[in-house]
Amino acid sequence: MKWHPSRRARLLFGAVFLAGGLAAGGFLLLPRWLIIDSQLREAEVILHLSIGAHSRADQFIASLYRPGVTRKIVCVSGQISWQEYPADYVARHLIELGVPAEGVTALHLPEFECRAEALAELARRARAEGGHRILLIVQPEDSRHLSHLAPRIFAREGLEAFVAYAPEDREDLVRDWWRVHWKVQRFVDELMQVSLDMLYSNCR
Amino acid sequence: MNDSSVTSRAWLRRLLFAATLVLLLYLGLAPLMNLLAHHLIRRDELVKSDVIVALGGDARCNRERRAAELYHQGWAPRIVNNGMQAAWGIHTADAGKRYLISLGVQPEDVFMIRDTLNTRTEIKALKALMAENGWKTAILVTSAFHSRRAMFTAERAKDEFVFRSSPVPPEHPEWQPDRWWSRRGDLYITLREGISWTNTLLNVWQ
Repeated sequence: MKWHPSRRARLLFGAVFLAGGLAAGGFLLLPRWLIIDSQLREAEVILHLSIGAHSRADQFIASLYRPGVTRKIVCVSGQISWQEYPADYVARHLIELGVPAEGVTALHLPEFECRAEALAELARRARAEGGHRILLIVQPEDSRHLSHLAPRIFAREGLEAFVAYAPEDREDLVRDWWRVHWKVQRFVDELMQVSLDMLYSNCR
Repeated sequence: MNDSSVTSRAWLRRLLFAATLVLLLYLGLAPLMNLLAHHLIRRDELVKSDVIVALGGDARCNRERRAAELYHQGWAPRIVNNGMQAAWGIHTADAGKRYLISLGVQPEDVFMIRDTLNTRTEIKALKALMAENGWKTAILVTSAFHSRRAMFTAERAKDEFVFRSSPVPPEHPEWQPDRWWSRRGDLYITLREGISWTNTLLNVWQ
């Protein structure tokens, strides 16, 4: 017997199919939405915001250090375990990689509700380091959102902010990303953070 | 009765139905969302066990603190502390072990699982460690919102191990289930936990 679905059933199937297709398409487009081109510039202060086990940003940042231009590389992190801050370890790593000790410092960030609040604190600290141009080295998937937030927030302190990331980090992150748990997790996490930030005036 | 009065009665009924639905949603949504959040928590009655397990991923170290409390109360003679490489030179399992020792746990009573990428890999490594040491029972300590999923993952495979849950209390500054949608941090955690549950149930990304 031939099945003839009603008009309503056809509409419902069509809507479900369309919604599924849009969700799948949107999911696969996450890297394109969230990652923008690096805005790599010479800067007096470099903020290292890409601390993590999967990151190769330490080597990249060490290569960006320019004596006479770069005043300070500030390694930034929150607490990862009891009174343990990855920023302290990464600062030591940068010194091992050849950055002069006086050119590196670690900054312990307390917990903030969202990144806009953390960036406001970072802008105050960056101004205290005496630079005008600030380069934020971030994780690739954070680049679009931070390049939207940071210039505006840093401008309140009279600073110019640019957002970049280690090219190796981007290559590594987008390679077969839809098959790897931690990569999917990072993209979905970022999408959630961006969406939630839109709901809160202090986070936009 | 003419056609237009029949049509307007039908519309009135639809309007009343829609208004009732909106009212029910308005009155029932908050209790329902609270109930769902409370359902993420699993707390079992404790019995003496072979090992206490502090699952990884807590930057505030409340899981380690809770595990140390249970150890000092005598619920198990040893603690397995889980963690992963956090950055160059720092591993959270080592850092957690240092914290446990500072809380009075004997160094020889602390065991570590070092590659805990997610709950499933963590439980798999835990079961391997338990089998290796002949342990059969464990108390899982994790954040409240994670406790039911951790237990689901541990109990999913029917094997010889018995697990009990004793999560960190859901108190400030930890995640709290009541009116979770009114706080950005708790909203994020609850939604993320919902996504993680979906992934666990569908067994997609491991």
